[in-house]
Amino acid sequence: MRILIVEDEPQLRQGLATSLRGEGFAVDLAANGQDGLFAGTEYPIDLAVVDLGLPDLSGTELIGRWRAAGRTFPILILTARGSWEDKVAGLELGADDYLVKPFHTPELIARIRALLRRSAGWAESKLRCGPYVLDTAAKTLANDGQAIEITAFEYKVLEYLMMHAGRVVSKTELSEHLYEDDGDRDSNVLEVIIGRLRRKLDPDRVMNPVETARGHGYRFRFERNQPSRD
Amino acid sequence: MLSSLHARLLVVAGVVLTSFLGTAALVLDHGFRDSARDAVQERLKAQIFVLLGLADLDTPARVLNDALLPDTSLATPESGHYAQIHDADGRVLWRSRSMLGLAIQWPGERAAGNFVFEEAISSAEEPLFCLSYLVQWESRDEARARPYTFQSCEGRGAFDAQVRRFQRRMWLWFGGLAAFLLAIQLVILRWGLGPLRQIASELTAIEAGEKQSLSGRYPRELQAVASNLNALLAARDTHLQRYRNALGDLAHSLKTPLAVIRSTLERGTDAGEVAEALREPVDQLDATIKYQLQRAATAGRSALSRPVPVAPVLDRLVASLRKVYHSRDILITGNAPADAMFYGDQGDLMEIIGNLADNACKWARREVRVEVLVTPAESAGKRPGLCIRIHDDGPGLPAEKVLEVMQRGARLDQSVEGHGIGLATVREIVEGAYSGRLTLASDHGGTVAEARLTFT
Repeated sequence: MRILIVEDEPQLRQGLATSLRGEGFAVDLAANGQDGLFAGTEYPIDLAVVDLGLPDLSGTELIGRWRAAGRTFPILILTARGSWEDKVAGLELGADDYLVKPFHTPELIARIRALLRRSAGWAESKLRCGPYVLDTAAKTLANDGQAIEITAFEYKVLEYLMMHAGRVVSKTELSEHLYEDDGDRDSNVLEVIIGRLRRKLDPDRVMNPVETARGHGYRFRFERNQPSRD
Repeated sequence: MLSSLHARLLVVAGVVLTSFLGTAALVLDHGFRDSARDAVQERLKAQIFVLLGLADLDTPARVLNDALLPDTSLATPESGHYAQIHDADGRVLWRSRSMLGLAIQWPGERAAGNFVFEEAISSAEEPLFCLSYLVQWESRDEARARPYTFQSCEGRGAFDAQVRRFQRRMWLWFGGLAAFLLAIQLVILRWGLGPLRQIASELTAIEAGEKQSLSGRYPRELQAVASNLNALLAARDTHLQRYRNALGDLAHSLKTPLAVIRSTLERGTDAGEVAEALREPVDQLDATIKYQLQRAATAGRSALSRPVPVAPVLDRLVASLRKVYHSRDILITGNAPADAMFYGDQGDLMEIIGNLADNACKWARREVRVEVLVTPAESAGKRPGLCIRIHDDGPGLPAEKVLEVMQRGARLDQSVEGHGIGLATVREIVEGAYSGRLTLASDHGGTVAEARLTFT
């Protein structure tokens, strides 16, 4: 999951980047509204965290421009102004959630996860597809109640696939949403990870949860178990 | 000088008075002169008739016997009354004795039977009014009638003196009248503008801190201004009081955690330990700042505030909360009658409903309902009140917990979770700024928060 942070305060920006990367997100950073506008329009990001008090282009203006350009990713606003008048104004502008500064980083991460799930149509923090349950809060995987050990990167790949369960996800899309920049992309790495995930998810080779759509990409074969709401 | 209301009214009154009295004086003066002239003319005409009656033009040597004249003034030299008779060639046939050594120019040929009134100057430079009359005299000897001019004159001295006397008397009266009217005008102005001066002096007293509000009884036109000023003053006082209280609380509740932070930093060695020790005072600082900023931002009710319709505000808040709590699958509904009005600051209304509904959403299982009711005014002339009721179907609140929750935030010497601050904020707004009532109660397994507001 790729997240854009638009925040002009360097210490806060770097601190947030470190925390979010630690949580397994790919993070793009913008120090002002213009950079943020560019990144949000050009990169395939999944969510943006926007500070409302930006020096050049105001946060509200930025959100308005993204929405006018047809960008639909969820937006979480950070604001020092905690009055309901400001909160409502921000939400009416096209933001999806707000957090008043100073905030607790765990709270921010929880809100980000909730927004990401929501935009993919999941209501709960546990993604259930067939016998598999991926707990996005605890970052654990279980097959029929049996816990399965997976690495952080395997989790990232599986989370993206299960978030979009039933849909074909191309290799490019997968790598674009998992890596921050184009530099260290290597489709071989992805193939190796997919192979490892298949062995862990389906040691007996009967379920085939991750299908290969020839020439297109991968698809998590089991549909979500809970009704989708979006 | 014209910036004074008093001076303006006085100048206008003065101008109106002067132009009125001036015009009246001109008209009167004109009228008097005309009638005085007419009187002179009548007198001269009567004299000519007397002369006509006495004259005997058939005997040129003794045209007129002076002894027969009824008026002695014609016989007295320089009396100012003169008469003479000319023939058609301008020769003087007779002149009164008063004209001794004087000459008055013959007016010339005139049409017969007409009186001609004109001004002339005698050879002694005396200005005169003269009336001349041409008569066709049929003599006994001749068959043909001959023209003779009878002229009667009067010096202007008496006329001018009369006019001057009249004018003097008139200006005296009018001047007196103007002074009297202006004096009355002054008195009226002083009396009429008195309440304004009273307001000004009372405001000065308030500025000087000698008074709290306008206390005087004012005429109807000013009473509204006075009451509104009082309302503004009261609002200002409440604000000041609130700021003062907030500042006092703020100093106390900011400095304590700051002291903890400083001592931790000065003595801390192990990073983890420092981080752990800093967490609580930082949370406290955050909570304090949030609460006190909110408190200071509360506008409070005011007699002059525009009514805010509740329904649109409620709709916006409900839409926002639905967005925020989308993933929790809570049914949030808001219902306010179209005539529900909040007489205060829109920001305050949003804080009240926003915080209470946000709290309810945090605790609710499936449903949050916001209901707004219009309550009848306390007494005639007052505005109807509001009852804002928010239900949730959460775990409910035990009665003994209610007081504790309500007072959180007011006592900031303990770590407080965000929603506690919200409730304390609402209580501060409802009970502090709007003298309303905030109650929390359990209801069928959920909680009902009710804010009752009254407006003046």
